[in-house]
Amino acid sequence: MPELDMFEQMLRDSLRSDEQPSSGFAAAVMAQVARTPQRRPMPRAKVIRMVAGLAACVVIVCAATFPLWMRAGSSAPKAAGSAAPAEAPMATESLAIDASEEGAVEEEAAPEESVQANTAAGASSYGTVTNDAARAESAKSAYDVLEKQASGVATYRVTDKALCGAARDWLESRGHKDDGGFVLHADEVEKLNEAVPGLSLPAGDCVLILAAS
Amino acid sequence: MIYDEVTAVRRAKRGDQDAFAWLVETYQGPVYRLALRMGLPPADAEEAAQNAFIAAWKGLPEFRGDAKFSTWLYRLTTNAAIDLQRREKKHAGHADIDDIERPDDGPSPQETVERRERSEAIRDAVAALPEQYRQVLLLRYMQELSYEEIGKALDLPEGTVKSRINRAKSQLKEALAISGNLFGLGAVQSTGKEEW
Repeated sequence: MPELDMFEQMLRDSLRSDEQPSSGFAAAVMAQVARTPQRRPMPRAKVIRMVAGLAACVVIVCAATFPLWMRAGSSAPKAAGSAAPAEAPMATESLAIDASEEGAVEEEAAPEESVQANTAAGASSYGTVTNDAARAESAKSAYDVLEKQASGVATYRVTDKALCGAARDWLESRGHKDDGGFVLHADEVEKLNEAVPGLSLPAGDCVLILAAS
Repeated sequence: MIYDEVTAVRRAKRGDQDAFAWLVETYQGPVYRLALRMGLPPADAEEAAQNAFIAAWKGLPEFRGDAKFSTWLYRLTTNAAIDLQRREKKHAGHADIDDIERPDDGPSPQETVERRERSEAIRDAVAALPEQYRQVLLLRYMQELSYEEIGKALDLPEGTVKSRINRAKSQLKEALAISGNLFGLGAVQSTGKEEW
């Protein structure tokens, strides 16, 4: 299209010129440049240092809070990972029943949650006590201390398969029924300890949960 | 010191003011003229050009080199010109055409006057175009950038650049026809496909 070419040429001709800025233009620009800092992108090394610093902070915080985590973990029953999941609700139910017998009724999601909740709430509503001595007791025994009530009734859980089997046989032979746990008086506990030597439950009334899978 | 563009840009990116001064010397003319053709009077065109160079200096460390430095600089210039126009609300093109160089093909005095009037009319019409059309038209027909370069400079798809240029030309011809300055090109009809 020659007319179009002509128009474009006319356009180019009209826009073409040799106009120049004033003679001091470049100097003025450079004077302003001298006063103007460049926008530097953040150096990679600086970014790496920042990330490393942040990571170090995270590590320090984790290290500082690790003992607290450990304590919280040990206060929860070991059965959290080792007991059969299907049995946990049973144990919970049993604890709830026991609590209702003591005059306090409240649903609990899981035994470990119960212990933690009690610790946090000062065990006021249950009248239960979970302390370091109980944890220490758990650590060296064949049973876990799930709960110790102010009345002295404790809840123990045994997860060792052989001990559970022997204890269950003995208890059932004595007419005890497992309703998610066996409610035992102090004298029965003493006899059970004699019948199943490895168990060594503390003297006193208790609820015994046999949670071997 | 004499540089080539790549070396000057590389050194200026590291803060070398001598290298940047070379870039200013090299591009001050095209940048200033582009600002003028954006419709600014000479004093404002200088200000816009200066703003463009300062923006280039500040932004050079982050300039990745996807486009040529000149292309990037032209974009900064049109943006600076648009900013200045918006700020000062000055949309009228400058009318001083006395110092515009003409091709030396020995035109008669009458031809010289006609050309001068025609160029003035076209520049005024260009200056009156909407910003987005004026910008692409000048980069294409004044700075002779390719569609691809304009696209890179303005972050636009090439198709958009082409359609804007066609629309710009259509509007330009329409404006010239209305003002009686189409100079024998009145029969030209825009098909919208001229540049495709």
